[in-house]
Amino acid sequence: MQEELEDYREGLERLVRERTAQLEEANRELEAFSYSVSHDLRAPLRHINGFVSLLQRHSSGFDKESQRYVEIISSSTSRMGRTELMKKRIDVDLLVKRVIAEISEPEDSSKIAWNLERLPEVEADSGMLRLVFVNLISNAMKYSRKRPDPEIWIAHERKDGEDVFSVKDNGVGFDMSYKGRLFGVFQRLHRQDEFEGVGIGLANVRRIIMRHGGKVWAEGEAGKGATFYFSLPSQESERKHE
Amino acid sequence: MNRLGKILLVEDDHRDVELTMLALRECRLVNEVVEVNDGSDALDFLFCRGAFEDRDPENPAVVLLDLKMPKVGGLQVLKEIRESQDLKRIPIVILTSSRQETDLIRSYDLGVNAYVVKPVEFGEFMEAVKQLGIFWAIINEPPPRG
Ligand SMILES: Nc1ncnc2c1ncn2[C@@H]1O[C@H](COP(=O)(O)OP(=O)(O)OP(=O)(O)O)[C@@H](O)[C@H]1O
Ligand SMILES: [Mg+2]
Repeated sequence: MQEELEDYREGLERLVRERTAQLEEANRELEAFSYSVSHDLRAPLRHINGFVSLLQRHSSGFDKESQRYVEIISSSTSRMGRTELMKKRIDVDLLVKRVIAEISEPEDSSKIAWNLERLPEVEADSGMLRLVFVNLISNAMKYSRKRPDPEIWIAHERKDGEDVFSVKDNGVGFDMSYKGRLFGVFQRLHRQDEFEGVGIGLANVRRIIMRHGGKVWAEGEAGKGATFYFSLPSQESERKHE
Repeated sequence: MNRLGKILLVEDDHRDVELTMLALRECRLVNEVVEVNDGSDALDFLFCRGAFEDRDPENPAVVLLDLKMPKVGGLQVLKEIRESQDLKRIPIVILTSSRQETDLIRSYDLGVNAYVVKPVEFGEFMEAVKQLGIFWAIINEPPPRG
């Protein structure tokens, strides 16, 4: 009996290792794929962008409507091709309040007890930073939804020349032994029938924060809740590097 | 400052040729640009072969080289130039869509002088090409003829 159990356990562990390796492989392939797609898109985008800009040089001869069309094409393509971060000063406090208002239905938002610390201004790409908060806050809402008394904390701390932000909830939490997987593409710790989702939210968060020179990490406990952190190099320390 | 050097533009995509030429024309470098559309023509030009047998023997001050081209790719052109006694010192700038690490490493291993990823945004693209043209065709001191 003991032996049988032992065998069974070993078999299971092997299976877990194999599955993990397969997932990691799939993950790498996906990243390579998305890289090559974005690369293949660069050339046509550059051409559209270039020739529309040339067209605009002649646009004084166009009627109003045609001028407007050309402007729309031009602004859309330059938004698409934007690979550089467009950093500027952002009032994170305002950004977070807007995000909360945008993503929460009035009924569930009022059920949630929100604890919002006063958040500072930072230097970042506002569209991207917005995506970071959309993902973290919607996760906090989603994974605490089944509690009768959901509560969410959003806080900030300045530490070792970094601005550290955190989004904390008292939801289902997660097992810390899986924390390495949270930020991978298509990696989910919860089943689809418990909590819907694709598993790309945190992968995007990680990518965006890394591009800003920061870090992401998380703490959690099954059944007790989770805290997601990210850091951004604070302005003073960035200046020193320049 | 030096006399204007010749630029060899190796690019298979005619749309990129047009945009690049426009940028060079805007900084008045265009008289000196030779355009070829694939790697094997580039090698023929450089080695004075085939259609380029009787070309003016002065070597270009710089080669602007695309990587992804049919038949003979940019890396192959780079390799053959670096292996040639007569051509090995010609400054070569890779001008490409790829920022793939393997391409970067191969290019630098083969002794490229600069590696520039074509910016997607038109203004940035024009600026990058102009800067390159001016630097390599005017400011940079070319290798002595030998
Ligand atoms: N606040 C949280 N509490 C508990 N687990 C979380 C929390 N946030 C994320 N997770 C876990 O991390 C996994 C990955 O999160 P991620 O946001 O990438 O995907 P998702 O929420 O499942 O789907 P989506 O792509 O729609 O955001 C989730 O499936 C969940 O298991
Ligand atoms: Mg999510």
